[in-house]
Amino acid sequence: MKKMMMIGSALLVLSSSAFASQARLLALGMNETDNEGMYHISDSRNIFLNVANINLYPNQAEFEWGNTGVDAALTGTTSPASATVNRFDKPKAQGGAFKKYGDFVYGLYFGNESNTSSLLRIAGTSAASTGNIVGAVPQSKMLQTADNQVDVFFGGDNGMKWAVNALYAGGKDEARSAKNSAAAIRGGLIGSNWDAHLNLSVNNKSNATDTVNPYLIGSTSVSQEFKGKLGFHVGGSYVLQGNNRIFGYVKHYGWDQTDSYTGYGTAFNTQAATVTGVAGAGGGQTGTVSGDFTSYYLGWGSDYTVNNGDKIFASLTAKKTDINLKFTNKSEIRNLIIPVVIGYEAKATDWLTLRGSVVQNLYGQQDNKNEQNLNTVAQSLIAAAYGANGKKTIANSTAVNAGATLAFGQLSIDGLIGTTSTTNAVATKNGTNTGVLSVANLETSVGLTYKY
Amino acid sequence: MKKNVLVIAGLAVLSTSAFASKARMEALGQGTESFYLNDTRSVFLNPAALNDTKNYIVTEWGTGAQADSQTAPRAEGGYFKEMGSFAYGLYLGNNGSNTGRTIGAAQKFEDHQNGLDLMLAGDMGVKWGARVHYAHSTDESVPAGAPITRKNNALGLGLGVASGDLEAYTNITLSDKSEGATVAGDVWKRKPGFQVGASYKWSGVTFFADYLNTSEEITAAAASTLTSVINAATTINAGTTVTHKTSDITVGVARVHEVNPGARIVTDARLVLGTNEVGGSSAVTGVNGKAKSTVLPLTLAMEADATSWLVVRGNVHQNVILGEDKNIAGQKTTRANSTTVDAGATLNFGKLKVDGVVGTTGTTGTAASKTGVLSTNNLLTRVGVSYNF
Repeated sequence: MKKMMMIGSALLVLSSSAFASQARLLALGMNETDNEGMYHISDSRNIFLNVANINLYPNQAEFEWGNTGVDAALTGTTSPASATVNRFDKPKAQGGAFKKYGDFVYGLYFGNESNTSSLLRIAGTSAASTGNIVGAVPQSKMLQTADNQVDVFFGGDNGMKWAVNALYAGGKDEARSAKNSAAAIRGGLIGSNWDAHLNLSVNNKSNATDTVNPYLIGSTSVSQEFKGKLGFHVGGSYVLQGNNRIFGYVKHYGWDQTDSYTGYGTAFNTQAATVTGVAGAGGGQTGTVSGDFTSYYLGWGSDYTVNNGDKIFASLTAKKTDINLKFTNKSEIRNLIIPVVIGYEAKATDWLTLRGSVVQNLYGQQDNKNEQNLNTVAQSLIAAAYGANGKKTIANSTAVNAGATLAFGQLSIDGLIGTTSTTNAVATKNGTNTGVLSVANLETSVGLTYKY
Repeated sequence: MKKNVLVIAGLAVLSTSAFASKARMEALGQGTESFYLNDTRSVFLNPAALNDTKNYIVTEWGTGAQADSQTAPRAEGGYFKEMGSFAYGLYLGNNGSNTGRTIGAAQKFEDHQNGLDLMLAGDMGVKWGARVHYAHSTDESVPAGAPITRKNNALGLGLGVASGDLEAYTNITLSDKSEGATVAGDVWKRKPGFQVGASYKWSGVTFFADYLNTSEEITAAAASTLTSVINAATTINAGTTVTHKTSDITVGVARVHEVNPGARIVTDARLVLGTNEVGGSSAVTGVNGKAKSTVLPLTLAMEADATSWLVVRGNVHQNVILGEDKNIAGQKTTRANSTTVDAGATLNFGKLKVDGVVGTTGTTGTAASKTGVLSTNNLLTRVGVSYNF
């Protein structure tokens, strides 16, 4: 309490109204794999949904605190990590700056690698390479996920706001004959009462050849490849009346994954379970397997101004996600949710803005089959995101999120609050918070924004 | 509560603009010294900078350990004073690099420790400065029963000038020698090496270049075999010598844009070409040869007076286009996950400033856990305190 009072006293400075962070939108109920933004809530993070939003947020620098993200490997640690995922308890460091130049706006942003792309490459990793054991130590040889991504932005406002964004990420490790690259183009428009975007994935490749010892079965050379096909994310929104907005998108990616390992089967699965101590299968299939990911999203959202500037947000959406991996025994993920989100954002003081949301599915159903075909790491990630095998209602979907912004004039520090437990353990996903307001961990998933 | 009120009252004092810490440099993406930013740390690169930063005491919090890093800082500090048209400085604990001196044995070479730096600078139209570095240590207590003499002596010299928009400097290692490790005849010897560089400001942009090289010889005595020298695979058989050479060429361009008197945006791009060569190792596989690196990091940083008592800074940094290492077998590997975000803050108490890095501990207080946490338990880490007089 003393600490809180000390900080509170110290922050008595007028704030600005710009918000710009993953943390803010997560606190207001965003539930997107890539944290790319929300149609009905203004935030500079929306540049990754509709790039034309850079016209609304020129002249600012953003720094999202973090490190390398979650290391997706058999034990959760490899060195160096070749496959990583951004998650709010272990965020990836990223940031950039935007500047107005006459009627135009340009920007440069580092480190915003796509989680969707990473998860697909992890799913496409050879089950044998995933289970590589050196001595007695798991040392997964995952396909490299996209890394060191650079986003370049350029846009303008000629009555209609427009912008384009090109991104590239690539890397290699010749010591393990691994190579990866990714490229995408985003384009967006914002009219008086509508907006639209088309985001295209034009290149997404990762391959590697390693000598591995899958679950101590015996050393062998394994070649693996993930090759993405054309991917797209097309969508937009339309203002019906006042702040009532309808929106939707279709997101689709296809890929082929190739695995040269020939030892898959019952013996492989048994050995995988023996070594890992986890009942189940090691997964995998020799040869080339096609996969696709499609997500449909449709919804309504609005906000209401109350008490001279505070906001109430509400949305009702439907999101259907289909993932197919065409193994001989096809793996299928079917997930349909219709969540309602009620959020608030209030200026508690001149220097403090508090926000939060409650989310619950009005309808939530999963129908997943044959996840055991995937490699062990992918099985774990898919189960955490979409549930294990089986057809059932998605249980306990109610989640409460909270966040805060500490404002120092042109400088604002956004973060999530309430994400750590009484023992300072951090929640790993929405809905696992334990109801603690920890002063020690004042904010998590911190994003710092400076307007100039 | 009274204490807190006192703290706040103490903070509500206008600050001066001098900064002085490794924490500040690191939060702005510069390492421990910058090629172009004005900071009291600059005296270790160019002693002529002492003409612009004087009359202060600085203390860098940390332990008495030899190594220094953001997560395990080393205790250091110094005193800098104007004297007529000159300025002088005394700095303790700048122990420099310990590269290659660690070996795979309990009884190691004596570290480069208890470093002492003496500086003198003046302004005679052209600003000039000189720095002398000296370190000496001896240990005659081990091994028990039959102790040997292990000792280290080091001497270095730094020289620099600044005239208008042009600055130039050189830092020379005159000697750095550790004798005695597992036996008395083992020798770790750094040959004279140097760092030379210059910067030039033009139309608000600073161009800079720097060349740094080191060269060491590590010799195992006739009755000794040294392992894990330089890296885990390097072995020196009895009576033989391993050589280790490194070099870094850095060229870059930077801009400090003063948005307003209390805020600045800092950007820089630099090309760094590095080599690391080992020769003479007895265990030759994967050890002897030259490794190279080529990186092109871009840094976007900001520093702003959030209030009269608080300065906040941060940067995002990533390798762009170039960022790979080439090992001695010629295999190239991209440096993974090069995107970093650092943050820092200065608490201003008038002439007293408390700098630190922010956001470096995890939710459980674990050091080096950059997990996006603003922890009030560990409000600042790698703290540097400076007092201006």
